[in-house]
Amino acid sequence: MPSRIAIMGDRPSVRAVLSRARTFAAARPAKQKAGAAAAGVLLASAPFGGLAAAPEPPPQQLLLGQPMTVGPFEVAIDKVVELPDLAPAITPAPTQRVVVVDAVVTLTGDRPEYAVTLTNNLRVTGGGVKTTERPSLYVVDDATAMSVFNPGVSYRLAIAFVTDGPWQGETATVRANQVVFREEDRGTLNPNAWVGLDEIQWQGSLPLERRS
Amino acid sequence: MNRAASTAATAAFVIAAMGLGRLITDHVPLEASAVEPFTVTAGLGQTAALEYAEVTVTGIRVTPTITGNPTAKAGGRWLVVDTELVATREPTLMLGFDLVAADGTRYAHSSRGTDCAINATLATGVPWFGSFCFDVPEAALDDPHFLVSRGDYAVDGSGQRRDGLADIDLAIGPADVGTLWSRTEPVDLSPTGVVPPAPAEQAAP
Repeated sequence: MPSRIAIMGDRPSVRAVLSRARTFAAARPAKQKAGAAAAGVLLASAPFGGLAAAPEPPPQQLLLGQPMTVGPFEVAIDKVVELPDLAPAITPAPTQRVVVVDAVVTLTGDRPEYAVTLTNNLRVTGGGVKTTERPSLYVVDDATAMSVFNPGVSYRLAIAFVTDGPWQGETATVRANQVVFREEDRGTLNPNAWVGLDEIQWQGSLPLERRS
Repeated sequence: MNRAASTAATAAFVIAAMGLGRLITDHVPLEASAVEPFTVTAGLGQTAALEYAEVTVTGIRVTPTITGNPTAKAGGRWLVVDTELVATREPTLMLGFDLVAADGTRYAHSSRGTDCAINATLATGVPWFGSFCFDVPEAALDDPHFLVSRGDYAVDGSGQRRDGLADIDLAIGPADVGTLWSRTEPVDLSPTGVVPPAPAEQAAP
């Protein structure tokens, strides 16, 4: 069994290490001391969120009749309605329902845009049922499907989601993602395109009307 | 020739070659000639003869409603462009049909009307007739041009590069805009295809 003296001879004591560290720190210039102190404070704040990323700004409040901007589109929601069908546009199974976001949509950009730029970035949740991933768009006046928008033209549209059952509750949460214009996208080689982000820009709990 | 003179001659040759290359890249419009389509202009009722097809706009109509099943109502107004196409060399698929306003804004045609044409599959030498329907705001009726090509516009006109493009002046002047916009009569379209439309549909503004 090795003796205590032998161990002390192999490793410097804690006291000696602290002494050398104190001497080293005392010899540092004032700027280095201040930097080290700041780093120490930051590290000490880590358990309380000091090193966490800045929180995302909350979504903007979506209200009935208030225009919201979804990329190149301006969307003003008039009402949200649950229907057994939207004939002749949509006739779902008897157990299913159609939730329609009735809105006036205007393309405010300066070039034509496909409807998917809008439908990829709108969602309805909160009814305790599954909905179609992406809504379909129909012109309210004639029930024709809307696939492409021209600049400066407004439409009253039925933004239609098919659900797998009756909606639970008296409200529906409508969400819109942030959609940004990307001039260059090396990932997709698709320049000058509107791209939806996984960040909710607009969100609102809107009253749900029911019609039979 | 001694070694020093040979080295100097080689250096002079390299420098001259680099200078010539710089002159070429500076003064030859390489990018412009590589991307622009070859545009052939024509007016309403005239034929634009492209390398691969002949394009004629036989008439235009403006209406809020295109009849059919279902009837299609415009958000703005429908500008219907009645078009005759003939492939002159080989069977040709044509995808590019756009409207461009005087300010350069481009408008896409719609498939909402039952008989609105979307694209054109042409047999060689056989005339093809179709009506392209543009849902446009009032400003687009001021001096619009109809652009026709094999490739679609795609991203920034990439589908039309270095290919024939017909630029048809639809002959609508500023004085016509108000009259055309105020029209309310529905328009009935003939089915797209090789059967010529009824003469009554061939109306000028």
